Amino acid sequence: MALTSFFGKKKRRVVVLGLDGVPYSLLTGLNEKQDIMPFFRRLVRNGAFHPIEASTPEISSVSWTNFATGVNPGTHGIYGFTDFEPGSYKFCFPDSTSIKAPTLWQTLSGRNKRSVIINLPATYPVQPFNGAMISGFVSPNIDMSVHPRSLLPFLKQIGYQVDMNLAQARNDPDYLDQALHQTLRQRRQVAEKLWTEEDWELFILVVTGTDRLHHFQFDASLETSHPFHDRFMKYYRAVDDLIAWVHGKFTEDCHKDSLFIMLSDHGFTAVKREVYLNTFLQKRGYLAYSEPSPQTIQSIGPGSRAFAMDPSRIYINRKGRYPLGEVAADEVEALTMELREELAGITCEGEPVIRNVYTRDELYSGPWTEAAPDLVLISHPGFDLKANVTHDDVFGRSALTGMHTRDNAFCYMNGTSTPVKNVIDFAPIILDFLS
Amino acid sequence: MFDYVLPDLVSDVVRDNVYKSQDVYRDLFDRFPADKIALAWTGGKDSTLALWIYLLTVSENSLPMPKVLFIDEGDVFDEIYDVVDRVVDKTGIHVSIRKNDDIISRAGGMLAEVTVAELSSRNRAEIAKLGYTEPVFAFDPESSVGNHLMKTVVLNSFIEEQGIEAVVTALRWDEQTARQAETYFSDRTEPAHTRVHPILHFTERMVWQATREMGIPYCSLYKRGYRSLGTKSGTMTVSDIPAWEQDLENTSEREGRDQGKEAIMAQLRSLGYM
Repeated sequence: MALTSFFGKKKRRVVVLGLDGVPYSLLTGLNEKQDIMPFFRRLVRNGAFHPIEASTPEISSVSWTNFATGVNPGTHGIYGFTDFEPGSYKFCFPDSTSIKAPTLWQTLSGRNKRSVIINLPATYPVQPFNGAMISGFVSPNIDMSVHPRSLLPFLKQIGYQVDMNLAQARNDPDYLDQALHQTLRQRRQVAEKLWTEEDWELFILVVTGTDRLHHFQFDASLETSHPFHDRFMKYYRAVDDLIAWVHGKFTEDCHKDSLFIMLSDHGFTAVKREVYLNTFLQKRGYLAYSEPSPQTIQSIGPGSRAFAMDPSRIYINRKGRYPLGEVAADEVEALTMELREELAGITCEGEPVIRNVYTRDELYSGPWTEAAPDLVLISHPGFDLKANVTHDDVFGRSALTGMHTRDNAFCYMNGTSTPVKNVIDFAPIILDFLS
Repeated sequence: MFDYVLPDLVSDVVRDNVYKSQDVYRDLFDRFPADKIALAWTGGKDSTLALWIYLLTVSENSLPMPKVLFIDEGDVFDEIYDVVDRVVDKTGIHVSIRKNDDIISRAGGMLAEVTVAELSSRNRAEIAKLGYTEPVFAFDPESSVGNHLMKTVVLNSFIEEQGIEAVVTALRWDEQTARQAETYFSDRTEPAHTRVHPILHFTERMVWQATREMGIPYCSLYKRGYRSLGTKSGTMTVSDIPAWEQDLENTSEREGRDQGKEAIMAQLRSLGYM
């Protein structure tokens, strides 16, 4: 039992339950059925439940960092899961040490307030702060995913996995099903322990299995005849149980004037076609490779003026910035505009593919805007933009059946609350509430 | 003084690599007086090779001997101390061994809790500088607080106390991609000094070829399969064959220390991000 309730005085607290990659429309669909999410469909009657917008690009590392910092990538510096090392075409993987703006829990540490953060993406490696954290995707080493280290024996004892083996999950539906439930149980075990053992003001728990399930089997949500439709629904019942548990504890242990927030970091929809942007750039003469069968964009060759990085970031190959830079500073603007037109015009069997093409200045502001992609694309639903370089054709399919969307993420907040339109809007509300 | 020459049987390719490092050292010895230079020696294969070429250059040019610093970060393999002893026996060099006694004496063992308020003012100030506000931390040299206190603070104290202006470390370009932007000389602040990386160009394979051809002592753990040595409790062996017989080019040197990049790439690829 938390010390505060021991003395009969409950604290004003903020509880955030994140459901990675859960679209608003999927939840409204499930709420129309009686028996899939019986708790959540009752919960949303009290409070604000509506769609919100994700970050641009709409991937977890960027969107959750927008959530955690309340600032845009031009200020926090995270634009994707991958980047190039300065002055080279070697991949590097931005992590928590690359975030240039204070996070919620760092700001609260400065105010002497404690936070518990479980499985929030883009928090690896954990940095010391006032509270407890088990970092989320991508966390390659459990030893660097845990703060304080004294939690490690407990995590090892329960066999805690930050993520399932995704390569296996992609090919083995039985493993996926088992791993989804196992990781969900483990999140809850950790949450139960830290809920009572820590004396916190902010509690964040994120479920990432939803995103994994959607990548691999989003089609199972839509088609009742799909062989894994029942499994899909069973997982959402388990998620509903978790929501009910967290909300139950919230009602029990928090002051009645406390904040309960649920959100997703992006939406999801079914893939019609994958669209390989580097193949498009190569076919149009903007990109060349140094070898006949490149495996990654690291094999970019001389004569390249632009390239793409996942999911939909377009970079001009600038002189001075990259070893094989071709484009001088005074040519950048004209090329950006030319590419904007070319990319906006991509069609697939007569259907337009691209909904928006943004320049960096339209999206980002702050000291790290220079590191931003020159263009970021948003597609029409169903066209999954990829930077994969191994395809000869611009359009194709893979084993992935779901794709992220920027719109149609969701938000739920208890009581009457400040209107939230975007994942970036929560941080100031939370900090203000706990001031 | 250790009188060492490059053995005749050393291959041309090792020779070329060694000469390149010697160019860096000669440049270093031109720019700084010997008593303002320190080599940070871990007892691992890379810094032992860097030390050997350092001694070779000093010996060939009859220069005064610069300093050698060994940092005991509190969880050192016994086998590392064995190689330190063997090198000292063979060369007769003086090694300054430093550690953060304040922390080690209070921790008493791995993951033991250390109470911040009981520490020296220097350590408390360093902890505050990291933004760490909890009253206790669990002792582990590979955690971010532990690493800072056990390695960085010890090195910085040595630099300040001895008035060191140049510190030699054994980074290599092929070690991990984050190293690829490193240069032979690079300036650091707080405290101000120059970092020198004389073996940047050595590959892991070349380190082993040079070590074996030049008869440089190495830690016995490498023979038992370890590729890269960190703390005793944070390092695992990834194979049971000697490091130099492993498939160095296609497996990760630091795999036994952290599963880093390869694991990240595999996970991202499965979600369609690579």
